[in-house]
Amino acid sequence: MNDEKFIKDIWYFLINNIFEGKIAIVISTTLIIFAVFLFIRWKVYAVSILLLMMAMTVAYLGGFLKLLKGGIL
Amino acid sequence: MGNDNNSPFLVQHREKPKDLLEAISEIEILSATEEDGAEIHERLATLKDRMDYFNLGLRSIFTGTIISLFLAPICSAVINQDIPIFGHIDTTVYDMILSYIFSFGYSIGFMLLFTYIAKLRGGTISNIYSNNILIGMSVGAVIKLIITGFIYGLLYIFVFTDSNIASLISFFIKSKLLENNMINLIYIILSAIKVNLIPAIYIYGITTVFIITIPWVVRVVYKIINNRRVRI
Repeated sequence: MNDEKFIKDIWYFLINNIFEGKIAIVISTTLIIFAVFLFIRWKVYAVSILLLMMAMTVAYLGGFLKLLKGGIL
Repeated sequence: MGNDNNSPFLVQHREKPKDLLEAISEIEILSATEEDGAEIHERLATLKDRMDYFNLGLRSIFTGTIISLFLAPICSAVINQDIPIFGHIDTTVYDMILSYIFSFGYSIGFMLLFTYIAKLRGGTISNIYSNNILIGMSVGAVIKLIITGFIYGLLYIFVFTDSNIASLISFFIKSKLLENNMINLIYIILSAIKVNLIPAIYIYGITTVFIITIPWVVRVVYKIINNRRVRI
């Protein structure tokens, strides 16, 4: 039971602190810049697309999780 | 054509540039040679060379198309506040810009490269090559816009219909594969994408106009500046 609570706490911490707000914005902006740079400069397509996907995940996950909880809209 | 040291680049057999960076470096070398005063005859830019540069411009603008095809409706949904980004539904201007960059990051990156090519004005040959690459890019961007508009139209009419969405949702409800919250989330996302398919075409169109216009405007401005410098 304690383990479950611990995991839930970590999950809520991630949602509230990483996947939304300014930290998420900074993380995903950095990832996008890297993705475009890698794509153009070294043509590392796979890594660049992976980075873009990660940036998108960071951006949209917070909102979708909140939607799942019935928080917004 | 003269076998002197002024035009070493053209006397040797050249392979066609494989990507945009190779083409840029080739044009840079040519423009530097021509700026130094080397006269290279216009006919040395053969039809095949011109077509190669045209094809390169055409090909380059298509990279990242699939990503922007998927993400443009989501970008439109974020702008219209149908899908939340960064955990809040009240999107700021920065959020909109970021979601726009998600969708069109690659196109914008390539537009910057094309703008750099547009600045390169050395002499006759480098002008011909950079013109061809820019014309190829412009034609490619227009073709891309037409194809995208066609695909979004087809999706709006045949795939994202109300009945299709309703049957998918009812399938999830009946099969009990997902929880109610998840089904609700899927419904919200699908409806948001459906509503934003047509606005996505406008966003795509505006982006295409920028991608075509900015390099050409930069080219014209640099031409005017160069002409003034020559007169002085």
